[in-house]
Amino acid sequence: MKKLITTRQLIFILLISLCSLKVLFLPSLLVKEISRDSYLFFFIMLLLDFLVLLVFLLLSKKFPELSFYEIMQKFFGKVIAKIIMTLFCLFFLTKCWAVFQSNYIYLNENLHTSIQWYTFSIPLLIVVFYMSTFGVNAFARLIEIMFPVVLMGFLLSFFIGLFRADFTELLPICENGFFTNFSTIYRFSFWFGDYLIFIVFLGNIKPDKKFNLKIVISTLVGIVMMTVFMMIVFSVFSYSTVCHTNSISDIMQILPSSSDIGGFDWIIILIWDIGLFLYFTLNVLGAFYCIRQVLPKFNQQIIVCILLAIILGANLFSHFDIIHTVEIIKQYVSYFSIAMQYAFPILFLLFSFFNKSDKNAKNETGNFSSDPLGDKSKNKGEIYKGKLQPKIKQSDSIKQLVNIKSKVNSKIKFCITSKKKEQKC
Amino acid sequence: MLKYLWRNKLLILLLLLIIAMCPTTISLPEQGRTESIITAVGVDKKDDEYEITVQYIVPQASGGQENLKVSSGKGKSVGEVFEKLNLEIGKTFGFAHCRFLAFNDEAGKENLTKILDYLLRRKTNTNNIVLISTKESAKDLLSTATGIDSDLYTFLSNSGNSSELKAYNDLTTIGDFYKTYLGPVNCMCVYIVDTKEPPSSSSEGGSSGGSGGSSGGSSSGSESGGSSSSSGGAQKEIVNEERMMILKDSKILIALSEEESNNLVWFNGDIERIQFEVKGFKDERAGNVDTMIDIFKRRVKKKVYFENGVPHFKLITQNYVRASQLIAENLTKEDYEVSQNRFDDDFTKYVKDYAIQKVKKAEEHFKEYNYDVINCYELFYKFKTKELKEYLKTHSKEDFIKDVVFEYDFEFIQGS
Repeated sequence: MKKLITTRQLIFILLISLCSLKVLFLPSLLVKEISRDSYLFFFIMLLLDFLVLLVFLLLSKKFPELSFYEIMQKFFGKVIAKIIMTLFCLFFLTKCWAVFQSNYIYLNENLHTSIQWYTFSIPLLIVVFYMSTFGVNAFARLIEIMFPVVLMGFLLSFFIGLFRADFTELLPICENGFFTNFSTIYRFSFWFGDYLIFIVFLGNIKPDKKFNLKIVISTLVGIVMMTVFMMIVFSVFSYSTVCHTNSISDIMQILPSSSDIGGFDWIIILIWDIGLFLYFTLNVLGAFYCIRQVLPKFNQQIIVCILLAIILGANLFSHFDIIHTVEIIKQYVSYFSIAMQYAFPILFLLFSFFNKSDKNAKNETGNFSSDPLGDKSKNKGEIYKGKLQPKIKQSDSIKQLVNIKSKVNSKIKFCITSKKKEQKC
Repeated sequence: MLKYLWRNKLLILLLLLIIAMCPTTISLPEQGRTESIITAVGVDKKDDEYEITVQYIVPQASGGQENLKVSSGKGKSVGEVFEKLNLEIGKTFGFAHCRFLAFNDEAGKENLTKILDYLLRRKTNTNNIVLISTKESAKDLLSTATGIDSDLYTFLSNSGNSSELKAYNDLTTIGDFYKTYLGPVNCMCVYIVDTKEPPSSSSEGGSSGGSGGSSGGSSSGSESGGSSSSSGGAQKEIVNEERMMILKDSKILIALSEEESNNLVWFNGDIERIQFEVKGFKDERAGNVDTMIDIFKRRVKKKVYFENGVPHFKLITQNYVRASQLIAENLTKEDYEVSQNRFDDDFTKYVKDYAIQKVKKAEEHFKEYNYDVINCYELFYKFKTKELKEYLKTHSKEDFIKDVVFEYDFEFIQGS
């Protein structure tokens, strides 16, 4: 089977997932609830996510050739596996809903003050539709190309903030005790759990000797950077952080020179929009992957169309109003996201202990191969490199041929023997 | 190749999209016609009514100089007036390039959030709008600035005793205002910029905006930074004496004199340069020559601690100084020679006492009027949280600054 992505591509995917959505609204929302200690909460949640990632790394090590769906089938059986995949699909769809809206608000507030929802949505959805159906390989390559740009944007904002930050603003630490605010902040868990995207690529990563080490080191660096960024945001804006809903680009406005040459936060706005687009497409891919396992016989293009229509519909339903969306997320979606992000991985971990390692098992279907390209490929028999390939292996086809041959031989033998019998009679 | 391209559904779809969107894009009016670029806003309050003045740029098709205009309107609330002005001008307001918000005394006596909240919620607002206070009328200030064909920022950046006071990025902006407003101590200062009628005889008094910054020092003339309107109408002057207005609980508390404002500068660790004039020092060599002292580099540390349950605030500064100017009617060769090596022990001690005297005056003033513009409470809150909590069980937070014992440790080092 052809492996879809490399370790480096996976690291970029994880890092983009780690930071895309968190550097916009989240700092202001957190500061509103827990003031100056929000960076601690941020750090703890990122560490929790890291533990979840370790669970998936363990699964990938134990069942290197199996896709996530196959692992679920192995653990729970076919029916429950399909239910789990449906739930994960819903999880990714909620993420898509929030990212799509954040992207729109971000552009609408900063760049195009009078952009209409359809002017924004239609081109973006068309591009995402093609990105989703074009294949994971192509998308992973795109991320590989765009990641340095996104990283540069982040670092620009990071260092400008770092040099202007007054870290004494973070004092006193935990003035009202450490656990005082932790009873309310679980509602922000939705903004985390981005490593779940890993499930899409389980069993499809090109083998690498130091795969686990590379992933662990790069994500830990990402976690530290994000925590420091959160500290910078609060140090720079202090008590007025609640007013800064686009923290990554707002940091650019604190430059003293910006008043002379005009705000050039648009650099970050443009760059970060790329990051949001990649993150949105990733989540669409995640939802698409999950639902394909549940409905393997459906045409993939129709599935993507339906998913995108659901995302657009959800945004229209919430009137592209981020305040409304945040409230819905805090009230209802947060419980669901906690279950998906933390309860399920714990369950997987427990089940992985009770199941034997299956390193020699062969991936029979692959992540995007349970339905080889839907009707299109079946009819035309085309071969698409790196995307939803028909996974009929050479060995399988040989076996089939042997079977057919043996059947034919047996029939011939039967005919011959029957003729001989007739002749004898 | 072409055949391949025409078979590409994505390309066809994008082409269709472009064709569909083209008419709406072409028919869009240019941004300059729908949005006006605001450079300054003035808010006056008179008889329970807000009068808002906006200075905005009208872009010139032929390029060249910016065309500044001023419009004003009245109403019961800030939002209402802006809506009226929108209709009157026929354009929406873009605040992204707005640099100043001036308010008069009457408007400042009410909670300023009533004015600033509207701006804070605009999409095109930046938080870098600098707040300035004016005594009589913000409208006059903007009209005068427009008359001299200068945006107020450029004018003020180049005027006043710039050697004595702040780089302009250190001014109180809307962002700073909200930081302080939402913080534990709601106290801050903004600059006062006034307008006044020019003396009738002086026709040459109005120099261009870039001239006034040469003379410095706490005792320097109050006319520095003045400039008069060169166009028609009321020939007023803008006066920037670099005085400060203290805001407490988002309202005007007290306007400081020029000297009081300069005394406060010593507490500001962000200010690297201070100039002041030392008078009255007599020694055998220097005689009666007054000297302008230039602190060209400063290091400021603030220490807070509790001693026997009493809060102490220690200001430690290391000042690198030089004698920058001799002030005398007839300077002799000896005067110059003496000035080169002026900082002997006696003179250094004299300068130190002089500086501490200034700082103590500032201390007396903020204790008398109970304003914590030096963020003393916040320092205790950050670094001595437990002791402060204990202290506040028996003392009032409101009068905290009055109870603090201030100590000063100034060091002057001669440099070149």
